[in-house]
Amino acid sequence: MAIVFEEVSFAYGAGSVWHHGALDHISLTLEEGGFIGIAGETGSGKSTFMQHLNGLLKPTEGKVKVLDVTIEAGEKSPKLTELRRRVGLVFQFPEHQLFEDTVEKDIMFGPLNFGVPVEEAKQRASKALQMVGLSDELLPRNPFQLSGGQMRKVAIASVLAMDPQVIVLDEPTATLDPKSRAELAELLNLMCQKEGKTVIVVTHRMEDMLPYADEWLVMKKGRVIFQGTASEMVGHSVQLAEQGLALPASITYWSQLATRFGLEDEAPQLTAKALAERIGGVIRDQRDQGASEGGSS
Amino acid sequence: MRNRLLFGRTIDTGSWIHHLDPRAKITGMVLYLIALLLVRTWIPLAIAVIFSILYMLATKIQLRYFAKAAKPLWIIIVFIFIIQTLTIGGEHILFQLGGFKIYVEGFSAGLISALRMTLLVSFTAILTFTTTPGVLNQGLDGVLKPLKKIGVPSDRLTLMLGISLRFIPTILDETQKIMMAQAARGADVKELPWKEKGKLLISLLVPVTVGAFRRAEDLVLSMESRGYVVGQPRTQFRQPHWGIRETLFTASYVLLIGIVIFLRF
Repeated sequence: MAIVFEEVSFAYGAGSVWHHGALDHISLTLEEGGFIGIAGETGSGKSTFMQHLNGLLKPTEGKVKVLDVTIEAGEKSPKLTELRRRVGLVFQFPEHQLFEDTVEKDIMFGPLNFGVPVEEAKQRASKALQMVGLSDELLPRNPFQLSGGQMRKVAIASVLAMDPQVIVLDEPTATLDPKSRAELAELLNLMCQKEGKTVIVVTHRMEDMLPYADEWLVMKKGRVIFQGTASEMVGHSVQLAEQGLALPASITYWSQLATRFGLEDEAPQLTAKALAERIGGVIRDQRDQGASEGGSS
Repeated sequence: MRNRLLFGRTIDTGSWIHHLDPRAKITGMVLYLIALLLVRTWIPLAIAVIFSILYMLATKIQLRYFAKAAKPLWIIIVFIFIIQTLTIGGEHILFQLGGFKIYVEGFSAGLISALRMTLLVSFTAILTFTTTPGVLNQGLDGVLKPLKKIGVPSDRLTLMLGISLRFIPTILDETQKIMMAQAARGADVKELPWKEKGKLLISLLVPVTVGAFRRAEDLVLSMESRGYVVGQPRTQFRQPHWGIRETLFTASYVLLIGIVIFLRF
């Protein structure tokens, strides 16, 4: 069990006139090595939730267990440096955090802070840059001269270079072009499958992560209103849509197909290819049925 | 960070002071400043304290927020107190150590100065607590308008001030976000030794400065694309209204000045 939340609540500005509740009694368990997507509208508490995962925010009520560290409301938290290394957090628009004069130095910033020797940090920087699909040639460049997409990737590499066990990303695909979005999702999938890392992605665009996420959390007003696989989400699609969740087209498409042709008991096909094949199958069945009916009369 | 920096944050309780014409509030604050500068002795100070507390209560905002507003300046306040106490001489010796003497008069003057400073900061917080930056700026524009005749570029000044005020919370928020992002990369202010904090400052200042310039460029583009020209006559969405309340409010400050002057002689 990588992450356990027990009755966790969090309020900004607790005890002042600006008191603003953001998490409301959340209890959940996320398994190690999974690929988890978190969806929900703006202000539903997604970002607040993710900042609890490495102790940047401490719960105002309840208990958070991440890996082997427990952070409990009201208690003095343990030293968080090790947790920060093991849980890498990539914030929204991470390119805004770049500050060094070369790409290499910026990527080395995290590892060096966590006590990695300089030589190894350099190796890690080059490796992390390759992981995000950028060339080594960028290492001596000034990060502020890169394109927006490249800056985003460099910033993500700077977190990957810390070699975290859990990677949490807040809207990593926002404002990226479709090609970069697909590449990034693929990269995260690789980190999860090949390197056994737990990947948690907060996203508005569920379709980006749909092919890869093992599990989804849907949040609303500081509560988790759904936890389960994409297939399970199909069964709840009507309720979730009523709650204002923008469901991916493939889920809406499948649930309409399923109601129209009575496929509710089947495993949902959520990729374009599989969906096309299944529709083909449905059409073929209909035609065969029509043909046999026509033949008998 | 937001909680520590109370200045510039509006607390909406809907009291009558919140609804006052911003021009009246600004004029009132200037008059208050004059009154405080004239205060030299304890009795006028006591009157100013009562006057201030009455208005603070009228805002329906808890008094501790006003106290908090003065908190960031405590070093300056203590400094003023010490300097006044040490430098002002008199007849009655309060404390003596060898040739070094502290006089009752100096101590009293130091205390009065420190209290005046505290009052000034926490009382003027009424203005920012009860007035949103936009309205405040509009009020300032109204107050400065007469100066335009003598060549003061009032609209430029208020535009600059308005933009700065508007962006204080935005930039603070962004700073906080970047602090968190760098903390996630192992640079946490709370957990680093002092030597490393310098490096941390760079990792914070560079992104915040870059961000401020990015915002400024965006703002320029969006203002120009809407055809904004500085100095052109503009209509206002909220028309300010000066009524009997505003007159009475301003008059109360004139009265305060009057009392303070009267008590001096």
